[in-house]
Amino acid sequence: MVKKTRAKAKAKKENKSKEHKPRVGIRSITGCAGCQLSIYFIEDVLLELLDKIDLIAAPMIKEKNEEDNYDILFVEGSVSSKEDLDNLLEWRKKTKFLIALGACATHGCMQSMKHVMNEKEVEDAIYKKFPSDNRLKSITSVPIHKHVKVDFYIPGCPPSKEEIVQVLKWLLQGRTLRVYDKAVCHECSLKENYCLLDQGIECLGPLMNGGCKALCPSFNHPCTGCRGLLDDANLESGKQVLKDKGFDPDMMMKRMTKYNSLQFLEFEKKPEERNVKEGSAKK
Amino acid sequence: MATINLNHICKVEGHGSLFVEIKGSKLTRCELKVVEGARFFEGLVKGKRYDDVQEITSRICGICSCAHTVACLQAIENAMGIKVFEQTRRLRELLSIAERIRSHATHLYFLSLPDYLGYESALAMAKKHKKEVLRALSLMKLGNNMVQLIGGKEMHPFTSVVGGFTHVPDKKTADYLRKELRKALPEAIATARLFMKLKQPVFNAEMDFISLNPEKDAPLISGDIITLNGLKIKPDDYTNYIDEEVMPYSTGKFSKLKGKLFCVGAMARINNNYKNLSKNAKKLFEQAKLKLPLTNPFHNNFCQAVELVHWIEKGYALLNYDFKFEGLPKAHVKAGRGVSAVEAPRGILFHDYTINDKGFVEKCNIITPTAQNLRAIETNVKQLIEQMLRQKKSKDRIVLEVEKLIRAYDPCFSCSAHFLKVKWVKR
Repeated sequence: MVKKTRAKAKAKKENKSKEHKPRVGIRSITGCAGCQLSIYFIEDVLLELLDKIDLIAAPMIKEKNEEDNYDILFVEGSVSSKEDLDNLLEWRKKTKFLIALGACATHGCMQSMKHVMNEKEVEDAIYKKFPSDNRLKSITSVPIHKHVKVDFYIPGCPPSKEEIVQVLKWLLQGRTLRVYDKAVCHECSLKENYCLLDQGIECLGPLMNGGCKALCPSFNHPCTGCRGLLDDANLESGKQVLKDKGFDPDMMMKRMTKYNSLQFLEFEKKPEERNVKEGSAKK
Repeated sequence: MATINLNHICKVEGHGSLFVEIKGSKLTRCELKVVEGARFFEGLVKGKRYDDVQEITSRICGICSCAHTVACLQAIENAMGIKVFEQTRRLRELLSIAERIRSHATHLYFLSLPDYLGYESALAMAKKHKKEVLRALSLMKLGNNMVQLIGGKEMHPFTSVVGGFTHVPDKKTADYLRKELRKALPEAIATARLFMKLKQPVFNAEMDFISLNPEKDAPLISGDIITLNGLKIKPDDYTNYIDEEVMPYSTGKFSKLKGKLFCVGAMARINNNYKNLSKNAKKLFEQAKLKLPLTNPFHNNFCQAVELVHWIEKGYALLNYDFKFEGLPKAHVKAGRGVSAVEAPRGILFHDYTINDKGFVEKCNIITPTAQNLRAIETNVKQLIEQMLRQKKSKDRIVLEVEKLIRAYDPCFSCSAHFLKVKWVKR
């Protein structure tokens, strides 16, 4: 995954003409719709924000939706069916700046757990009851960057409203978008939380991308990594740290990686292999 | 008898479409389709440990994640024979109330109202009806705030775990929320007044209504299942009563109650439990001069608005409590099967788990409210179109009313219903 995207806010720059507001769309493929709800839940500044942009497509709350020429497009959900893929490829062609919104789009989220489970068993739980029902066939979910180029990622399940506003502001101002790339532990210790690992509670904080203000650990709930693994996460030494603290790291990761199973699989492979694969995926 | 199996309905909120075929002035085909990428939630939780399940099933739906959270936890607790404290029940009830406030507000103002006022969206409405849009946003904010302060996050709350809460709001937070709820009451009343005035088409649907028979302390998250026609069943027995069919044209499953049509949701709740409404809510309902039981599904909107008033008052009362954090909850693993039925904003939601002696899920079955309503929606759409054809209404008019009807049910594919592709074949 491209974490250090030094996005140049192309979308904005190309449309510097004064009256032109950027044409923004919000589209979804398979997911829970929670991420786009997060946008509508920006209650305080929603109207102000919408004044600065031209929201041309948001099927969840709009009747009239334009299909073409997006300056900025938010996509939520993971690619889980042929329709999803067709739509996504189509949207990419019509979009200048595509943002993957939320854990499904950035990492695959729950539905991508099939990658680390016995796929047949998972599907049988449904198909066996409806043996003739082939309409339910889906493709195993993957995050959208496996199929199209993504210009920026807003992770989180759901992403924080502040972050969405921030990114939109940066885009409107034509500034470089920045990504938070420190571990959850970083913010957690800034908040002076009592480390969950030290209390004997399994937590994946040391390996996971922060930027969430260590929300879950602050409420005594372990981090399960909804923002994905750190780009430079060192699984081996991470596991050693957990082992030293008396945990069974393999079991723990198997049980707790829910949002980013696919990314985790890739990290388990040799680093060289991974780089080659990731590099090709980025194209 | 078929056992219920709505494995795929979790995806319903995605894209729904309606296919209507009319020959001359006769309706020959009307199919409500749900076609979505499958996520296999019931398969995904198989083999997961009891304390990992909530995080997964909560992701079924963004807007009713609290209902899924509570239903899932209660079902697992029932399976393992865990009793929770009064405080836990109260907090879960409050989570459900908070979610109801934001969900109803979003549905009423952002999905339903634009149709009635003749706008394409609530955002287009903002210029002329700024007051209404701001009111919607303030109610949504209240609900979101409340979920966040109790559940940790606005969506997919995580503080509620098997056996209790990992974090409990303090006195200051509770007082703050009470103050906010009190402030919001006039807004909710104004909402009910607004929806009372909207003109609804004359339309009667014959069907049964299912809701929970509320228990006093936690009416949204516990109780037996009752129907307007007098049936009373335990949640565990649901498989014996609700039949399910697969239609050749949709991935969503359709349900019936012992072969009869039924619906769930705000209207069903008010039909079955009118006596439990708060004073203000009752007063508003009386002002509307509607006759109970309601049979026009279009009134579901007004029912939701009345519920807004009711639950804001209820939440205010429930928050008057001395919440205390008593350490992280602990659970003892025990094998068993557990079912929980809760009232999600759109109707009854079932979660059903079988846990083995090591604490891992062996079987899971989830039935969402929209799955139960699909059959009723499709049938009502058919009836409405036939009625309007008899009245010789224009095509555009019929399409608008049909969309309004579907949205009135607040299906979890509201999102798609607003994107409703009505294919109109005339031969």
